[in-house]
Amino acid sequence: MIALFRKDEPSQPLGPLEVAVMEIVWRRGESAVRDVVDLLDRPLAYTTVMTTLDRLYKKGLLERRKCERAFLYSPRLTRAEWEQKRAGEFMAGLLSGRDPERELLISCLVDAVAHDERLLDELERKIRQRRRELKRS
Amino acid sequence: MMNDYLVRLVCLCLTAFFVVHLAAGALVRWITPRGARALRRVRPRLAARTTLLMRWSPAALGLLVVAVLCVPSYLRFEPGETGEEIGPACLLGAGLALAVWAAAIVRGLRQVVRSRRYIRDGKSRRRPLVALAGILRTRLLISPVVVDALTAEQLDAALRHERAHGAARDNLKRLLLAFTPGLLPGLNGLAAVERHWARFTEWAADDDAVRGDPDRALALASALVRVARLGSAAVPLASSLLDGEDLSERVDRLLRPAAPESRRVRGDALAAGVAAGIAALACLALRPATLESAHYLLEHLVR
Repeated sequence: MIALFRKDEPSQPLGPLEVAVMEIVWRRGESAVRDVVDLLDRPLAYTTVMTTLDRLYKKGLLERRKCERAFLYSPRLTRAEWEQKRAGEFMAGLLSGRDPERELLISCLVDAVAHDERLLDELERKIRQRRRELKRS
Repeated sequence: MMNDYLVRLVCLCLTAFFVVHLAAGALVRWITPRGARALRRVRPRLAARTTLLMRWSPAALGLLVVAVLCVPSYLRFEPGETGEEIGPACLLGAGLALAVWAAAIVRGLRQVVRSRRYIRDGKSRRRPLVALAGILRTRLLISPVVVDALTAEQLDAALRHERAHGAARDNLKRLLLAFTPGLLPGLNGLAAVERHWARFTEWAADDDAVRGDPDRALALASALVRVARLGSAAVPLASSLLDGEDLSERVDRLLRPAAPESRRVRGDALAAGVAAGIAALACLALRPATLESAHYLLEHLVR
């Protein structure tokens, strides 16, 4: 019960191998250690990947269930949820400063959001592309 | 003496509500991440209904237990003059139950006041906004800057989206959500369920506005991006065109609509299942043996 009401623990930073493993599990869904070993860009020992998956499980990014004698791992959060959580923690950390610093930061953020149009440009590019596809068909 | 009898009943009801509400809420909180992932695969309207049901279920179950177990068992088995005193645990539970309801009422009223003030002050004229406000008599708030910025097709798609919110009575649901108690005083505990509901509601309104027409989908997607460029404002208790934080995901859904995997799960089947569950619980609760057991438990709770 206490664990259910405990504030989410802050995410721990991920190393390059952990990120690569998470990318595979996000892309592929539920995966065994062997699946991840096969899909990694570089050849790595089975035990290395197994340890990495176990570490990600302990960090709370993966869930696992036993299937015969092996564990099957699946992501606990979607990629978007994880990124949102990290961003939220980052913001909470920044905003926990003293009042003048916080206000300065908030005004910088408002400026940045108002002028950051990259995402909107990208979405408009997708819409144009889709419109062209529809016209062609 | 009669007063003591009634005070004990009220304290018991409040404590029972608090215990059931907290336990059910903890369960809902625990299943929410998995449930939300599974619900992404069904129709958004059904997903929205299910998340709403999840959010309301702790309070509904708490009230149901009070209505069908606590009150009947107390009235039937509790003698008038027992001289029993209310124990500290029971008093604490009753106090916490009152506090969660008070917090919910304050939260709801604050949102109502903020919403009315926002509309009355005419802020919607000064800020870029497309939203459906009002609970029973809905009205569309659309600022001149948005009308100027959108093409006729985009405006039509945006208005269809807002009408879909109106048809689904989403503002009424928002109001009821605002008045739904959190798990502990000062801690909602189920905010994630509310966020998922808001997301699925937007998806459902998008789908209803588009109705599978790719041209309308394009118009709505471009309207969303254009309104986002203007920096759209949000009104409390209103359905804004740009509600939620998933603009990118909404645009992707509109451009590449994916067929829901399970079309067979119907909303009315879900409602029938819930109604059958409640009826079964009520029938079970009305059996004398159940009421006697409930009274035995309540006797322990009151001490």
